[in-house]
Amino acid sequence: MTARHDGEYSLAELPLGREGRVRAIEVGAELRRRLQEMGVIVGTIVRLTRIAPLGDPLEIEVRGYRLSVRRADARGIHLAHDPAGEALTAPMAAPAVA
Amino acid sequence: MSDVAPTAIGRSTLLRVAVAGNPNSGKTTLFNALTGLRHHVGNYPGVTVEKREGRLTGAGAPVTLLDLPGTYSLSARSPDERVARDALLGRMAGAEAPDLTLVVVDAANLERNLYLGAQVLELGRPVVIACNMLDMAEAAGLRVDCAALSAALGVPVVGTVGTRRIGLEALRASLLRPSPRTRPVRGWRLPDAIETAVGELARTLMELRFCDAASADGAALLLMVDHWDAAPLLPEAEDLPSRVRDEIAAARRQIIAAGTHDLPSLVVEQRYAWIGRVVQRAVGPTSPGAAGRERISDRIDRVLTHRVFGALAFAAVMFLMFVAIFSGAEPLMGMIEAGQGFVQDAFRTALPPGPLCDLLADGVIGGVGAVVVFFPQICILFLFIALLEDSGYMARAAFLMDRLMQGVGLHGKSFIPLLSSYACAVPGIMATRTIENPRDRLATIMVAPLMSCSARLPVYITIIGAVFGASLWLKAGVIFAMYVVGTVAALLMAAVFKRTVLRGPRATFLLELPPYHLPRPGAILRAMWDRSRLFLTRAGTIIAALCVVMWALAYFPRHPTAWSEADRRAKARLSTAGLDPAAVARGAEVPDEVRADLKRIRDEAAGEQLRHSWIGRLGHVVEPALRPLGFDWKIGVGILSSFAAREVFVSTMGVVYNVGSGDDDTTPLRERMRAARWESGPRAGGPIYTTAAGLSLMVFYVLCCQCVSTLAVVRRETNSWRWPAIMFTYMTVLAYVGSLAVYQVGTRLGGGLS
Repeated sequence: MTARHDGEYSLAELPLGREGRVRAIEVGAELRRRLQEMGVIVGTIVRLTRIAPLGDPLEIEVRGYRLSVRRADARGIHLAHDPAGEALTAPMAAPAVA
Repeated sequence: MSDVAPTAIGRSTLLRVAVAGNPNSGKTTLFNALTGLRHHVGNYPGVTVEKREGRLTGAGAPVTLLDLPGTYSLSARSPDERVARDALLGRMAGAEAPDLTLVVVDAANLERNLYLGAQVLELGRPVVIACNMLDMAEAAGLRVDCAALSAALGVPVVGTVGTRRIGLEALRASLLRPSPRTRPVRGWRLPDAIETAVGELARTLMELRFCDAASADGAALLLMVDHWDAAPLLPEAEDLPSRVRDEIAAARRQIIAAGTHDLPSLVVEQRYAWIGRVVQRAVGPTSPGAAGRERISDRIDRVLTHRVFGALAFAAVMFLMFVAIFSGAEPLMGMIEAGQGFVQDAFRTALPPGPLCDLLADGVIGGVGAVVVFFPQICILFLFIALLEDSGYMARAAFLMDRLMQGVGLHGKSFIPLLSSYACAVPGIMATRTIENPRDRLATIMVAPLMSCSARLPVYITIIGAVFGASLWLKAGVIFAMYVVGTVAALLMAAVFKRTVLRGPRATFLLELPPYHLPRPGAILRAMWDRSRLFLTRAGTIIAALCVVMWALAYFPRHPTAWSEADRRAKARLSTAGLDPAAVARGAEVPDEVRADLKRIRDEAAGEQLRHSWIGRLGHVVEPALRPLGFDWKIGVGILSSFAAREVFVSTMGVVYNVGSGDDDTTPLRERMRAARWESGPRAGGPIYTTAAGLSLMVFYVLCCQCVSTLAVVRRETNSWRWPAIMFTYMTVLAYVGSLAVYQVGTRLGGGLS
């Protein structure tokens, strides 16, 4: 469950403005339960929307609302390459290929 | 599980409605609108969770509404959540389960809001859902179909906009009209082996009358999930009947044996999967592509959480708040003090002189005044906090400051309570209520009094005047240094607390950043008033009582001759001036030099009395302990009397040095202090107020917990005397050690400092 494969990374490594799908949550028990209750569960799509001026914490969008998590905790939220989200690896402002 | 239990609701009897919902769901706005702002605010027994109850207006039948704390879930892992769960299960002392639960959900954020909704629905009792903030949903490009939602959930769903009072009539009507559930209590199922284990636990709960039959399945599921992880996540363990405990453990073994090792995750996933299906049937875009628009909140946030502008805006807001608390309250505090003086004079004129008159005028009125004088500062701070919370900026402030507070193990939300403690720790400690995690909250409370508050300023000024002279830069530098000492001590102690007594799983920082709202004046004033009033009723009584005790310690025992002697000397002075004492008592003219002599006689008698009182004697008793800090017994008396409130130091020193207590001008006092010499010991004949002693004394005042109001508020906020006792002890020790270090190092540094 902890093995990392190519194309997988944590929420802390997600580029600003990009989305990823939660693959596993490996944080302390209390935070893990809270995250789950707040709707961050395996399979949920999260987007990194903002980083605080001092570099921490992060703001993510999940299920249509904004949630702030610390960078250290975000490292435990593993994301998977989302087959539907090609934009994940492509630059955001990439011009559409005609 | 499929049996539906509609409870018949008699029209003539009182109907009790609980109002549940997520934070930021507009629950309180809706509650206020339904009760017409006429409600009672208090605390739940044994916890500092705010309890608000009110009557439903315009209903034509008696209906009470109970506003539950805003929570994201019913898992009892925080005091708020436990109160919400226990109130819904009828397990709060002296209250049955509510007849009906109104769940307020944010239409713009339906999935996460329905998570709590699902847990309430699973408790099997009648539910009405208010689908609130429909306007916000529409602005976000979402169209919510309340009829479809109602069909999917099996309970009435009423669309509302609480801020504009839309949908209130329909909501009132559906609260009064019982409607049977048209769907199973739980819309999703677990694997059979788990359902069997949960069912067995539910039967036990029913047998033990832990909750009623309808709620048993939902309650069993909540308990299973809450007690799944080995360590209890809430510091104080839950007091479950031992049979329930055993049953939970047995069910857990059964479920693990059947191959499920992480039941909580499974339950959450199943719930959200079901919610996903419900939402899909009820929510769609207002127009194709409308859901992707950039929200106004995002545009505001691009400025307010910007690296430069965000920091500037934050600094400006904090500065404004600080100035408002510090100086805005001053005229009002002056008025309160003047009013207090007026009432005291009125008592003195109306009553014959004697202990009773002194008790009422100085003890009781003084004690009440000590409470009321904080009220303006508290109101202003709570006004700001209500404004910040209602607008949504409070969450951004925590978002901005969290990185700084993390270093000492605190939470972003600790920043505002600590900052406002620069004005006064009492409102600062009350402001920690916004911190959900009990350990983080306690750590913040425990260090807040180290932040140098405004009551210390007169003390600093008096000492600086006696020791450092009049140089403005030196004065400002020393005062600034004291603020730095207090702040550094607070941050260090927070780190110490978080690593020792308040150690626990690393603080969770999980904060919703709700969309910005235009603050509504009515709601803000209401929130300010509710919280400020709690201070008067809860902490005020303790503060006033302790002030009377402190007064008595300085008043008794009475000096046998000082006052009669003073009386005799005053009469003698009047007759040498050729004046008739009886005429003077009636208000006859007295020449200035005679008046000054009379004041001197009175001041000397007051000094004798203080030295004779319990506090005066204690000053002598503690002198050996204070000598290493550079303090004589007179400073000891000043310090002891300051345990009621720090600013008392100035007036007490005035009395000790026979210059009276009532003057605004402390020049005579400063001169006496400068002239003070050691009467005995190795330094006999040398000045008492050296630079080292002055700094030592100021550091003592920075670090020592000399404020009964703070201790009383901590007692109220933590519901035990344990934490105020720990606070008092550690701060006194810290002050002693700090002063000792300053004085010993200072005197050894040589002549320049002494």
